[in-house]
Amino acid sequence: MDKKNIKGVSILESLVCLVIIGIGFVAMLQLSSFSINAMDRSLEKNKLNFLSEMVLEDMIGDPDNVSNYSGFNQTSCNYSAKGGTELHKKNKDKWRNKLEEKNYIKFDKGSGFKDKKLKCASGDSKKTFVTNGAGRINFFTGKGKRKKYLGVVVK
Amino acid sequence: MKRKNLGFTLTETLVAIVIGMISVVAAFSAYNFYNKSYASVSQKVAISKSAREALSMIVRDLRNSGYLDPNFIGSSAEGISSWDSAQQKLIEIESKYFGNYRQGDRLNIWYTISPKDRKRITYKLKKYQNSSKDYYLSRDVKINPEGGNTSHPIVEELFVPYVEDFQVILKDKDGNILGAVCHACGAMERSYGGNKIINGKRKGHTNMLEVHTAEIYLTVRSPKEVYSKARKTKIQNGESPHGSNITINPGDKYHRETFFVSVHTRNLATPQVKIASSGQSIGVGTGYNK
Amino acid sequence: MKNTEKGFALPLALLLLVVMTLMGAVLVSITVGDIRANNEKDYSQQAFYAAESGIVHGKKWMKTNTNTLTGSPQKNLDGDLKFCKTSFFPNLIGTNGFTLGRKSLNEVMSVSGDEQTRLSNFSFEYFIAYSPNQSGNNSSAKKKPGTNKTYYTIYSCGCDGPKNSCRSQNNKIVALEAVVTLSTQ
Repeated sequence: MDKKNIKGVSILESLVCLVIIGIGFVAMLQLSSFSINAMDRSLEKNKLNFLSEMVLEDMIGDPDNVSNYSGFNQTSCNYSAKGGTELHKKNKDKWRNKLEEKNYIKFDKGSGFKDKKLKCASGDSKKTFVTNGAGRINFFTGKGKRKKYLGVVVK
Repeated sequence: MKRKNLGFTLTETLVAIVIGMISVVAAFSAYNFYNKSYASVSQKVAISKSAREALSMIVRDLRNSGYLDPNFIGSSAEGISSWDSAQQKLIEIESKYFGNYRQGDRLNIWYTISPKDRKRITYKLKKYQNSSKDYYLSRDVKINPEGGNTSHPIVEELFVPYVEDFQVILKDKDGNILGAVCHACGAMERSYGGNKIINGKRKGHTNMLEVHTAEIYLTVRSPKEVYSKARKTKIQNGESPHGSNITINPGDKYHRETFFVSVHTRNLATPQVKIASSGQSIGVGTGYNK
Repeated sequence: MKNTEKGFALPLALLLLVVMTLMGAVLVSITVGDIRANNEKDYSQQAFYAAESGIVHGKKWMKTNTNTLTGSPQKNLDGDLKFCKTSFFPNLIGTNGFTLGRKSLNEVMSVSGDEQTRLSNFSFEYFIAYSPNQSGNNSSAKKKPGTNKTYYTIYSCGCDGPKNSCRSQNNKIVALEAVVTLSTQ
């Protein structure tokens, strides 16, 4: 009987230890993966905060034509400049370009310079509204889950 | 019977050794993964924080640029006695000269902080003392720069670590780039006629009052290496020729991010508002900086 | 007895569990720090634009009240100002002005749902006075040189709280001033 107890403890104990360490392992992996993804999203959110300022600043700088800045709507994957010589047309093309969230940085890991892949998610949209001289942005990213609102009275 | 009490069986030992080895390998790879994650995340946090603080400060300065207190002429500590003279120092850039790749810009901004005093703020890339390739973006402040006795020493109030590129593009109220906005004009600005005299004034000066929008590109590098394999990098900020085109070859293992912001300079080219005219804005923030 | 000798493995494993969880938690916490900083930047931005909205409202008031702006007696505003204290403006010593206004952002922009909730948590307060002279005194009008136009200053504060509960001790307040003249003068 004694002998059985001695044998049982060592194998059982090491198996239990393994499970416990395994739990710690999994926990660390999960937390790390979460952090890596969350940090990338946080960087994009940081950039988006400044891009939101770009939109409002352009509205404030063109108060007599501010109603022309309404109705802007961009879903992440399609971008084409629309052209035009008036300031509001140039500004909206600038927005289309910058809000595409393209990296201005390209790298070459051995097979030529490539752009970072665009994040296209359905449910994403970047819109502007101007009503009665008040301009607002509604920027939805992350399949529409992350919402950024900013508004100002322009005129 | 007594032998069993003293030791372990062969099976037991083998199983224990195998379990032990699996644990060691697992522990080692977990530690490795964690190390890489920590490096990547902590370096990105550093980049994010630097860029956020830098751009917030730059945007605030740009909004204030060119503000002149109505009482400034006549009580200026610098002895500025005419609006014309005051308006020769509102905002200026010197392009494509600074930084590791000789393509960064320098931005000077002037605004009054009281009826008597005026501040000059300079953003430019400076080299770290103990390095040959690492640059930071510094924000130098000088109060009453023309003031002789009343001027204060230059104070470096902020610096943004490991900045690869800093581009400033100034545009007029029609959205066209202004190639020469300068008091002390650099090579690029001279090629755009910054020193040419038109109607008795230098073009570099008259352009200061045309500035309607300022666009800023800031590329920040991670303080430490992040990637395991070196990669060549290309950075293209702005619109050629008023921007940068940088190739980093041979490659390295740093992570880089580019941030963009665009600001309406409220005190320079005023918008075509027909109503309560001559709006001039100054931002005196309390707690506005992040 | 032999049980306790072999007992070291279990506490060791538990220790490793705690250590690994802590390591993961450290990573999460630095990430969350950045996320929080982005949120604060977001609130600062909206508070700034709230202040700008206050200036626009001040300009609108001036356009429709030009008579009040020419020489009628000014009132001491400090008692009526809730969060936009004259002390925020270092170049201003007096506390007299023509008028003040205070609004939450959802009152000046037509919004609904989420956006309405968010904008109701930002507000502005502005007051309008003669622009001060070089000593900060603004009890009399100062004219733009070579013209008959009086300099007025619109002082505006944006707050990251609703208009009735904004307090300078608890909220982030952005203070702006704008010097304007009337085109009718």
